[in-house]
Amino acid sequence: MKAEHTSAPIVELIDVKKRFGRVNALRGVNCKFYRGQITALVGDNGAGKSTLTKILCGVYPPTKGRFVFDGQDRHWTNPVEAREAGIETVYQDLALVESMSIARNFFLGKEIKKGLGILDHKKMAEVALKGVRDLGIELPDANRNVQFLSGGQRKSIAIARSLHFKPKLLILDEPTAALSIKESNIVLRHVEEVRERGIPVIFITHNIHLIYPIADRFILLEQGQKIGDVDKNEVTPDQLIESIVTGKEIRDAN
Amino acid sequence: MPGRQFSRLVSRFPEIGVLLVLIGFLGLFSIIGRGFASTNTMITILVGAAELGTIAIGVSILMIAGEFDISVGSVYCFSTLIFCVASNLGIPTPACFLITLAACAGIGCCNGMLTVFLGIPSFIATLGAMLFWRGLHGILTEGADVSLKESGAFLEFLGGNPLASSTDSMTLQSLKMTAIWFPIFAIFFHVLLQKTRFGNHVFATGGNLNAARNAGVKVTKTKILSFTILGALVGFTGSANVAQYRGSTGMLGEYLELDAIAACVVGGNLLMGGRGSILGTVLGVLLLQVIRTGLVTIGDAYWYRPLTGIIIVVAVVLNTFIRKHQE
Repeated sequence: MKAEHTSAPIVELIDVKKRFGRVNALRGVNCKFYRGQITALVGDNGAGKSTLTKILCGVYPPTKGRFVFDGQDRHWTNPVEAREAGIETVYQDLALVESMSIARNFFLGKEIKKGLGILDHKKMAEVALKGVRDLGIELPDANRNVQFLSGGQRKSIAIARSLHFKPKLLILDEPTAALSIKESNIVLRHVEEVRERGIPVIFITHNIHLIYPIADRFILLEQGQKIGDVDKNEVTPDQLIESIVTGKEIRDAN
Repeated sequence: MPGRQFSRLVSRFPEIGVLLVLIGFLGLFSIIGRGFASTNTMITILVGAAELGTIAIGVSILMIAGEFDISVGSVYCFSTLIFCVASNLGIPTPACFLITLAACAGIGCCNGMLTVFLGIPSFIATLGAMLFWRGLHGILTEGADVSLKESGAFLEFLGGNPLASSTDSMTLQSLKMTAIWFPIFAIFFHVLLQKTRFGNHVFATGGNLNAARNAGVKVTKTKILSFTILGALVGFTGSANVAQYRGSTGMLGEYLELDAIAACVVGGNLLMGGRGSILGTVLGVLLLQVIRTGLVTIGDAYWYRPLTGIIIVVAVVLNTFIRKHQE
């Protein structure tokens, strides 16, 4: 079973391998991520999701293979380059600096200046509040420290921040880990909203039931290899889970 | 509810704790200290706090960035030797000053690079530097003091009394330029930390290294720059010390690193990084100096270290309590 697509993919990985010393984290992965879609990257712990994610968001380059983003071969060595090219990432629990304000976090690394190198705090606070409000979250004060916010509010801020910089691709690494059910649903609504704005999303998770309702496509990893690449209408949640648990390719529904 | 108002005040102005303690000690010594409540004593306190304070500003920035430098006392000592030797070779004093400044910035930069690139804890890297530079001072001078032959207007500008020729008042006799440089540095670095991109990155680097890196903050550069700024401030203070005392002695600056860290911690800087302020550090330095001077006026100077020890522990307990009850 293989998903067919006509448009050019936003990301294409061709025979991507990644080794850490003796460990083969990725053993030659080929996959495409398409525009306008939410693609769920799923697999058990140690399947290679996190290695693949880190290659996508520029933490390190692959050992071998090609990484094509937006039609060009890329060889990033740090997240700044990926960010500049239009890939925004919401990291699992390393997204925000707790001891800093919402506004300062929102513009961290991309601060607004007034001239003479002085930061424009007022404008940063306004824009941050607006960005968060556009996602439907009301926050009273952008000068509040992040440490006083709930896990869900933090994710919302991280997503709002990513969207503010008009990305060509949004990567969400386990965005609902450690969130309550209610908060998870809010995050999922944000993700749908992102798709409606035309921004492709890669959603890394191992919670199939959670992602299934909103995902368009699933890519399954197991021990550093791709074992599944299917459109939602070709597969049921149970088949996906079975495949992850057994480590075997998805069996035909019929 | 007064409790709630207080916690709102505390979250907006976390330095309130150390400020209240400072006012408390000023009041206490004014009552029990002989001659404490006088302009002269206040100037003595400011002058006495100036050198430690200038260095503590740099220690504070570095602490917020999540690192330590315990070599500042030794580098401070060595910087006076650089200045004196350069000057005694016949180099003009302004150039000696620049050489000292650059050398100390370079030493700070090296400490930073050792820490960041070799991935060793800054405590260890700078422990090495601490032993090295003070040891080198001893080797080069063979333990003897070196005195400065030069004198002149530039030295007066660095460390002299700005009002020496224009006033007969006894009160202002003890004023030194360092007491003017210290607040200037405090204001400059306060603005740098609170209002600029670099300051933002210092807080982010110390607050959450990975989040900062992921957001595109150049954490390595930020740390090395913080070490370098501290080095330059140490070099400045060493030069100002030479300007006052016209020499270099191997005992200078012993325990200075600990006093500086104490001042930072008392002033609410978090030892683990990410939080703190120059204002807090300045208040911390003033508090230590008020206690030192106050104890002298009541004739009990030996109490300085034990009392400082108690205050550090109490301050950290209080700061932790305040942070938990913010909001």
